[in-house]
Amino acid sequence: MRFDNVTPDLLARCRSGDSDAFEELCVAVQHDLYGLIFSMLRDHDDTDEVLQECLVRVYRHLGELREIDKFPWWLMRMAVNQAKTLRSRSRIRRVLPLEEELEVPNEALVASATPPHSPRQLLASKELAEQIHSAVRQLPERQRMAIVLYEIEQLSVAEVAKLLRCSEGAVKFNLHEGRKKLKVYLKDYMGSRAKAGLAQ
Amino acid sequence: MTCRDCEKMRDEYRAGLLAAEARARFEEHLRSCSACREGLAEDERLADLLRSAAARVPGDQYFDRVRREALARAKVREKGRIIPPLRLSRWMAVAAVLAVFAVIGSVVFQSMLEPTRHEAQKQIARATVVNADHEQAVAVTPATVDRARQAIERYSGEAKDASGNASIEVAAGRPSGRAAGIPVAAPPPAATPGAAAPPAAGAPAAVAQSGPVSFGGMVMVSPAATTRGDDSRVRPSAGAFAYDEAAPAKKSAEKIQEIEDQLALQDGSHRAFSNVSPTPGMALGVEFKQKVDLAAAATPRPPDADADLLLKVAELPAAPEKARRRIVARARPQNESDEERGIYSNVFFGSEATTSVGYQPSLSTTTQKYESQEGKHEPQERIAKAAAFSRGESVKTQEGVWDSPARQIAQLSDADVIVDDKMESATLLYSFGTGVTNAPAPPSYSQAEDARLRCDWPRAVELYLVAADDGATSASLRADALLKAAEILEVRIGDSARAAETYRRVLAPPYREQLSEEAIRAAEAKLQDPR
Repeated sequence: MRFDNVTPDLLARCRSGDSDAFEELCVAVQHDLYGLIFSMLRDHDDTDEVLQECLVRVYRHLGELREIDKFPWWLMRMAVNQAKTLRSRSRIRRVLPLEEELEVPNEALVASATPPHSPRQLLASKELAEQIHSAVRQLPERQRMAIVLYEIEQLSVAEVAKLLRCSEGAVKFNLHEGRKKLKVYLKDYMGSRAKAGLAQ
Repeated sequence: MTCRDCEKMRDEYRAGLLAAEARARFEEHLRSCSACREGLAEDERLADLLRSAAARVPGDQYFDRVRREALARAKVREKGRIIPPLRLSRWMAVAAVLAVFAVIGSVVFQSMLEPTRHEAQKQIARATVVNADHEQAVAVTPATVDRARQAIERYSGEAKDASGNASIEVAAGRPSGRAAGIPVAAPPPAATPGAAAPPAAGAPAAVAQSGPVSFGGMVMVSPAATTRGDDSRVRPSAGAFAYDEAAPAKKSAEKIQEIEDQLALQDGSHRAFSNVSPTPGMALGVEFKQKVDLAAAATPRPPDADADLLLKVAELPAAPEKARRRIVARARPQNESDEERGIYSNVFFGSEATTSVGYQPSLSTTTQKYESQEGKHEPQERIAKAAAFSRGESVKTQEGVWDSPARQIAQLSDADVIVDDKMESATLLYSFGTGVTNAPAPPSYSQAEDARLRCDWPRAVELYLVAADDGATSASLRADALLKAAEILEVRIGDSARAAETYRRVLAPPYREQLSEEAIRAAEAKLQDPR
């Protein structure tokens, strides 16, 4: 589970209105939160928007959270809901051609956990990442959310169902359908070579 | 074990959740079945691919900026509240108990057939000040209204117009009888004795005279109180909502009227259902809620009266036993799980639901929900469903059972969630009014049908293709959309290359399974002999 580095003490200080503590909390959750939102939206600008909105909401609503140990869960649900909201507001984007250029920000590449070693590797890695982002973006929302939360966030089926407010059967169905589509979209990359390319 | 069983167990196997015996059987099957081995390996490879492309976290510089901006925004919003955060000393706190006001503000959405961004920004702010601690409205002086209006303007940033312009022009000059100058009426008499008495005095005169035409609704409370989880200020609203729920007959009549307005509006403009801005119906639906809200807030009630009212909600036919118990017990402090709390953010503008817990479902949003959920085109059916929904019944759709707001609110354990709803919905309704109404609605199957009827062939093809990809809500509609696109390309536009390509798509999964044998044969024949 993400956000496990947030201590009850830190949350308590935030709730008392301590701005420094809020800053500290943001630092503690920002990477995980970015990762989670990006997994769902696959777009840096959208992620940026949702990330900011989530932080604003944490600032405003943290005081109302009763069970403080549920903070990670609360934050994840907020991220999922905000991502859905953004998606539904900008649904029109879905009719844009999917081959539009996906700009991975330079700072993202610089700070990437596994920086590519040569320009060629960088290019191959970037291309593959773009293909994966594009494939995930093409999935219908429920399938995308299920795949992201199960495969990337590694939540259980029951947890995904709780987060998405649907039955476990629906999660399994969406996982199955989503995988089926992704395997088609990414068929050129399903071999071991591609995997090695990205891992470098 | 069959391959099908094996496929079903794959996830559990990967997660290490299979019992020893099942695991042994699974592995035995894997040894003898190459297809299942390959399937499992593919799942693993796909998961690896997804994970390896997931973690591209920007550098510290980026996060520094995000934190800075988020904090600035959060503080601006804080300032926008009517009552700024205060550090109260003990005697001030005592004074505050007597003097804390919740302000019910109204953000009015001017309903136009095609509201533009500018028009949407002419949200009108009206407010009355309610002494929430005593659950009694105090006289509204021009000064307090002004103060509240200024605060709401700060809050929304853009609500400029004065209440004098508040009028709704429904359906291009077809004004609804309920749309303008509604006096704040007392809610219908309570169905059971012992519940809150209908307010005889009604709301303050200033409000009653001009009657806001619609209502975005926000309850402003002191942040100090919110953080303490004090729900006393919210009780009038919670009670009002329950009160409203207790009069299902009146409510559903309102809803049906609203839906009829919507349909008339669409008939008049020949627009596809989902293309109509939701604001007219939303305004009307919320307006009714506001009347009840104000009237209930103006009525002094013993502390337990609203619990009685909530109990009545629980006694609606659809309310579950669990909720009934919870509401009976609501006088005690309760642990509110985030599961329940999560409702508040989920109900707004998620992909499907635009109904908020604290509000009635407005007609347009309710009917649009069915539009998007089922792709139905029979207005009568939708009216019936929306009316059932608004009466507190659950409605089954393709994606599951939708609980009505009456059920949702019955499942909440603590009323301060409703505060959130109100504040959030004010913000969101506002942004919905300013932002979304200006954007073209997502294309749908019905819009494509519309374009086809108008012989706008290229547009129809474009929309059918979108509907086939993702826009239509059922697999058979998607296949149908693709087939129609192919036919128009072939017969009307005469683009045989694209037509052939589209027929080939139709004949491939997942569309193929949705077609009748006859349609498949016809499409195959066309591909063999393309004109």
